[in-house]
Amino acid sequence: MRTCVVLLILGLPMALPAPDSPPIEDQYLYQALPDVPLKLSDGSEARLSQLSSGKPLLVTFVFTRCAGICSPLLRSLKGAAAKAEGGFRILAISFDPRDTPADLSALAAHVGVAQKQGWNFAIAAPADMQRIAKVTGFWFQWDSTSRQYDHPGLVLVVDRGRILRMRAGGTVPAAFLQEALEETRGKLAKSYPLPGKVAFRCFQYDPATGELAFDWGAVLMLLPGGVAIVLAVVVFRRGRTRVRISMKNSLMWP
Amino acid sequence: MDAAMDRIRRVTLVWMITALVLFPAMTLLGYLIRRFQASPTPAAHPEWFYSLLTLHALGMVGTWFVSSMAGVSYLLSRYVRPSPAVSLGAFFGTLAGVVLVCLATVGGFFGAGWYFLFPLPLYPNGAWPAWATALFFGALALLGTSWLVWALDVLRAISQRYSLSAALCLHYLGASTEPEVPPIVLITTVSLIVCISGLVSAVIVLVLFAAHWAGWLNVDALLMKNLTFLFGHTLVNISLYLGLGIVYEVLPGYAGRPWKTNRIVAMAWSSILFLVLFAYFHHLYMDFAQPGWVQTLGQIASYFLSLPAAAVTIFGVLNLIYGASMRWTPASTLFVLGVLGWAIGGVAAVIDATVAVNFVFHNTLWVPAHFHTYFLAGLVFFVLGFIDHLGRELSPGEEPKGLSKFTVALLVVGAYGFVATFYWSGASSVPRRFAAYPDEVMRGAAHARTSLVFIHVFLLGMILYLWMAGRRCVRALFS
Ligand code: HEM
Repeated sequence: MRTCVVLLILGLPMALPAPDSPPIEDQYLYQALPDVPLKLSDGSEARLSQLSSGKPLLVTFVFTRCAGICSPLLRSLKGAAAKAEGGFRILAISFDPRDTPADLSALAAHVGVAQKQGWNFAIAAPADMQRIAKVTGFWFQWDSTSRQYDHPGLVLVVDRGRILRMRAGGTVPAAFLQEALEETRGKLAKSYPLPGKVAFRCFQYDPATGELAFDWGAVLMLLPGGVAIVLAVVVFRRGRTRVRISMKNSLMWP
Repeated sequence: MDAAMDRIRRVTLVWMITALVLFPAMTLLGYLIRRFQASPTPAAHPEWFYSLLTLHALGMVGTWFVSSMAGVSYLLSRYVRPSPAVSLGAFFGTLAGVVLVCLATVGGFFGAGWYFLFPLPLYPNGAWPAWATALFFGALALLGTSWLVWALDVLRAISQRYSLSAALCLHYLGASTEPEVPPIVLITTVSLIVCISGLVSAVIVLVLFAAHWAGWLNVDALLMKNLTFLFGHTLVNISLYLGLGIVYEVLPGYAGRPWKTNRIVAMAWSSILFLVLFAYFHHLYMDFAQPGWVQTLGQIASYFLSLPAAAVTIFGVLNLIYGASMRWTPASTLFVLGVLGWAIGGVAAVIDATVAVNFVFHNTLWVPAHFHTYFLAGLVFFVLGFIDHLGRELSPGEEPKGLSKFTVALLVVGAYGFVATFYWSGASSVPRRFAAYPDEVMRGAAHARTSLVFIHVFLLGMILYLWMAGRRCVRALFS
């Protein structure tokens, strides 16, 4: 989180992720989602801003003919949402132009979720989907061999229209969701994801318990004090072997 | 005259004259960056603000560290013998470092701030070239190495006369007062051990920066921030302590009374050795990835770091002056005023080191307000007092009394007026480090315009001071 703030301050260009890797959270935080019109699975229409007003909104991207990640991701999200406290809405947006409201209703029934539980399934127009993809780093690519879309699993936590957290992958841990929802209520999350493999982390964060545990970096923080004391002891030991000045006679240098 | 002592005097004069050149130059930079903030419209080249701010801050911190270090080394030579050659080596190292920093900032626009927080220096996004970052880090390495060797040499000199426990006055904590140890020895020993820890921390930071730059490893930004502030905070902190060491040693001469170490003085100063390593956590209160207990430790250490030493010193100064037939010269006046400024800045710092307050004040101009108070109206006064004292000792002669008083008055009015505008801005939520203020906090520009008046007053005082004390030092060097 802190790194992302730094990156935003630096104004690093928003690198679009390579189409074979999921988007990196740091690069899309605090982006505003475009207020696009959506067609909901019950046939009604709504704007994205209506769905994200008043409550946090969890957004994910699916297509109903998916033979891969979509259903497991939705089920994982359902499981995490059942354990999470506080009010929020969930929106699954289809990026497949072939999907119809009926297809989306069928998917909702298949996963076992309903609008009255805060779930919405919706279709965005292709041009609007492109606008959403641009600010979220989400991508999808038609693979004619498998006749499926390649796409990452992605869940956005949207607060007042802006991306507050993002999670890429096929599952949504309950601890992540709870932590992100607490963030929407102004509580700071202690986690600090860092890109790549980091040598000497100060602390490791356990999202399940919310606790921080020491790591090797914390030892490095104590090293300077230790080295200074050792150096001082060495210097003074050497000095004492060559005491030249009698301290009895005078305080001043003779 | 003892040839070794003569060399020490000359090296000290060289350091002090350098400080008298660097200080007005860095003050002019401060004036320029405050002018950016005073403007109601954004400047055409805001990148200048950040490179000048970097140069101003590092230049000031460096100037006051080396001059207080040179001051205590000179005064310590009454009891022990620091090497003038090592001091001279540190001088040339510092000079080369200053040139590199100037090239990096003014030539290359390096503007990551004087504590260059990771990863900004490596990702300037076109604001400055990579060579400017390399020069800046080269300068830090050079300065750090020169100062480390210098600090080790002064400790070596102390070690030739005192054991470590004696130099830390641990025997005073029991019943014994033998051997008698002057406060300057205690303060210098504590400060230099702490200084070494800060410099070692800087070495680790530079190595990690280099490793990250070379693509060998990813670095934890939180670790870098901790280590960077362990370096930056301790360097600033001990510069003040070394300045106080000067006051403990010189002020008694003006009061005609001794200021000796006793159990309370020993306790207050030796405890710093441990506390200072944790006090810097108060720079990371906003870093929520740092556990809560670390923040609490930072608050406690900050309180116990400042309060005992301040209480003991303020009480000591009052005790020294009360009923004494004080000789009031610019030196003694500046020492006493400096302790006052240090105390005022210290109170503001303690307020800011309180977690609950810091959540509101952090990143407002309150922070520069407190550290400018104890620097400009504290440490700067200690060193200017010392330079005046040294100049009079080595090249006697009197200026008109009225002129001396007027000079000190200008410095005091200028310094307090200037920092008052920072406090004023801080209390009204004006952010720090803004080259131009957005409409919501445009009041900051008005405060900055007011401060320009006081900076002029301060600069006028500085010119008069240079004419008096500066000339004396130059005369003494070439006599
Ligand atoms: C009359 C003399 C001085 C003037 C006019 C001056 C002016 C300034 C100004 C305008 C800033 C920027 C404040 C902000 O927006 O954050 C600043 C920052 C700073 N100054 Fe001074 N200053 C003076 C003396 C000193 C002294 C004696 C020191 C001693 C070490 C000092 C050290 C610093 C430091 C460390 C910073 C912080 C840089 C940062 O936030 O990265 N200044 N000064």
